[in-house]
Amino acid sequence: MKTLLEFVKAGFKQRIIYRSSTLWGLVASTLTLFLQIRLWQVLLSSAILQDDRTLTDMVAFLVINALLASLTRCDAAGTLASLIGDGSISCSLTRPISLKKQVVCEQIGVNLHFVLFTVLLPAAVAIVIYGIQLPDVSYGLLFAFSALLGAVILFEIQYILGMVAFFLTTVWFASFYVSGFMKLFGATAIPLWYYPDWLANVCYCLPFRYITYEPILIFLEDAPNPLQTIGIQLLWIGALLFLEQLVWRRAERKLVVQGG
Amino acid sequence: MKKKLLLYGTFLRLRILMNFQYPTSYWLGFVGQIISYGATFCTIFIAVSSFGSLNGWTADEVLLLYAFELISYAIGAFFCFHPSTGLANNIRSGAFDASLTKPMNPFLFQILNYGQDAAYFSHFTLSLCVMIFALVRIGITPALGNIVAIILFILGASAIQGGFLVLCSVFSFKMVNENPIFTLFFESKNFLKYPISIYGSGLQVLLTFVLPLGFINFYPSQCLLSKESGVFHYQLGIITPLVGVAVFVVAYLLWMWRLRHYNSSGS
Amino acid sequence: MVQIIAENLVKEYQVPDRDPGLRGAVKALFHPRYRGITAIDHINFSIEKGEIVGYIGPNGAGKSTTLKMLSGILYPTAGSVTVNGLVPYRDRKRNARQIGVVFGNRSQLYWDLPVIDSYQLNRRLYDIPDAIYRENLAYFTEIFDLGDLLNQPVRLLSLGQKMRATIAGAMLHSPEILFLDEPTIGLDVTSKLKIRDFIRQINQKSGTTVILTSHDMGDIESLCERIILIDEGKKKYDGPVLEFENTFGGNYSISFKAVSARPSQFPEGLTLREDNAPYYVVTGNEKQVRLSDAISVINQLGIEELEMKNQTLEEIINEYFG
Repeated sequence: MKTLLEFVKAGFKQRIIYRSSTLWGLVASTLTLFLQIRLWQVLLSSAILQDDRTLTDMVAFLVINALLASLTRCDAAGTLASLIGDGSISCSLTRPISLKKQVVCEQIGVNLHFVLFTVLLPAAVAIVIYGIQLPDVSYGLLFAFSALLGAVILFEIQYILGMVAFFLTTVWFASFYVSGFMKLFGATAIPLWYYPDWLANVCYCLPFRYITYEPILIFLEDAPNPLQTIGIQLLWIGALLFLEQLVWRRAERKLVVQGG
Repeated sequence: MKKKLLLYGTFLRLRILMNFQYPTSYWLGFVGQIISYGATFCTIFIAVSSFGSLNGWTADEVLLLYAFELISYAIGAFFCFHPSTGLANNIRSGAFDASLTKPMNPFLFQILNYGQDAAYFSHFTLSLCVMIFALVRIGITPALGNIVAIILFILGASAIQGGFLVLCSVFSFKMVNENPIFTLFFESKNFLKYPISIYGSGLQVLLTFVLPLGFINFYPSQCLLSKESGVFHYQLGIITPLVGVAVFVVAYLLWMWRLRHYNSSGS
Repeated sequence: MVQIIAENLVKEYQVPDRDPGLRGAVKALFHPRYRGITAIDHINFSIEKGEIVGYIGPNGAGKSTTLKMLSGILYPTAGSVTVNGLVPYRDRKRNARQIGVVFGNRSQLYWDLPVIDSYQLNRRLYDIPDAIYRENLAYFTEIFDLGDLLNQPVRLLSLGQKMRATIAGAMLHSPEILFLDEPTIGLDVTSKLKIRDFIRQINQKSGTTVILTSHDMGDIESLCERIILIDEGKKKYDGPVLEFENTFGGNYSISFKAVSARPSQFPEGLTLREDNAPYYVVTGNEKQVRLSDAISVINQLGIEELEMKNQTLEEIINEYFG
């Protein structure tokens, strides 16, 4: 556990050095959040669509989305690819701690830094300005747990894609797939309730909406059955872990053959 | 002249060979980028069409708007993305110094040696398709005048996109470890997914005269659609090609100015 | 013919000077303070056509800075440089055509492409006439033993192969002057020997002037007749290698085994370094006791085995910079 914390710290510290990056990152994330809020203000004020969703709901969606997105940011694919590319994978594999845990913990450190210094402030400001209701304790806890599971799902997807690097040497394209699927099927850009029915149905069959969208519904106390959501999340994690094992077996064989 | 063309051809050939060294990766990337940007198009379309319109812009018109952004980015980034974003790294590794020993304009060398990344064909293909789709649905006729105008708008906007990438890289001479100005630029471009007339007039003036990002897609689309929207007259878009030239020239001059500083300070 | 001249060459860097901590960072944002660091401090030298000059000094002494000024990458703060009559920073492009530059830690070939593609680009970039390109390519392919390598992607080459290919690439336009910054860094012994051999051949064939920086004194000893030594931006020595060795070196050590019991007295002027009877090691310096004299004195002690070692250039330099 202590070693794991060291990796988290290492990830966090990596980012501390870049102070001006942090400052500009804060400016950028503030800009983005308030841009999105402005867009929805304009959209919701057009009276054509009578909607029981209020701006406050939408702002809550955007704020929680921004927080979760930054907490679950993950470039496991890129990390794995660069480890494999320059051969330091063998060094990482000889450490007495699994490669996956190293990658996860470093990423957690980096993300904590990002949330703390670049997203928390604009998010807090938006929560105060728009008077967003925080959920009660039980929903709050369910939300936190569900968000954690969401992060695990995203990480698993990224990690599996990252292992493609064992077969193709480059995976710069992996992030495009993840971002595309997250945006379209994960409803990170606009909430699923605006989707046409057929597309919403497609999303139900895929894991992406369980990353941030479903946790947000729990936060809004809008989820009909939070426990069911968490159950489905666990099922997806199981399925992805299984897939990961399959890919890892093949990757390992490849690693042995090529000698790293 | 012939020698210049031969040199250019050699650079281009090398870049394309490099892109196709890993054909599987190239094509997986091609599809991935289409999926990623395609998702953006889809979500924009879904958002606007479920409300009917956005500040007087129909969903098709907003698609056209974003298609202008992406197609000009495809062209601008084709030449300028890697030379700009890679500059800091090249300075650190010494590759930049090595490139200064070549008998060629250093800026042009960066563009030709590191730019021309065939990965942007995917952005180009997708945005061209969406643009044609939107134009047909809006009902803009393929008259010669329209086509010439669209091409000029795209070229001007591409110069703005490329120019801004170069402008960001000017900071890399100083911030060789990590240049956050790029993040700021890419985030600022989120303004361009929707008509800038939805923002306050102060912001519109800023995006027109100070950071003329509005000329990438808002003013060209407004001009093409003859749509009154925002604080300025819709025909302002006519000067897009001029703005493009101006932004690129300013970016080039600043880059060369910083290079002279680099030459004398080594940082 | 004098080809490269540096006169009173000075290079100062401005580095930001900042108080530690957050307060310092904020203060630096509004009132940036700079202090000058002198990397090159009034250096003079002139180099004749066809010379191979070793430019040496410890890390951070200013070797790379000098080479960068000679190739027009950096502008001098004061003083002047001319390379073949050109002022490099004013006439950077024309100067680039008459010099070849190799940075040892940095390959200038396209990583993913076959070597020959990078050469094709140089051919266009330097506008090399077809006949000369073909002739040079054939010549370097032969002496650098590049035959099979030309069509291999650079990433598959070994470090030594890469360096050979890089030097050949820098020579395709027949430059009169070649700057080599650490050309043997990280190479194994065989590869080093090959590179040295190539540099010698290039120099002999077309009288190419070579300026070489290296941390491997083996490179310098086997290639250069002349060295320029700099430390903290100042020139410390400029002249023949032999003279340098005679002036600053001259230490030797003699190991021997004595026949009888412990010799009653060791020769005057020599220091006893190791005393593992019957094995002894003594050291001395040419300037106090000549090596030949020392040996004859030791011989009189009655010995069985004797081995002597002269100080290497490396050791002299290390001692010099202590």
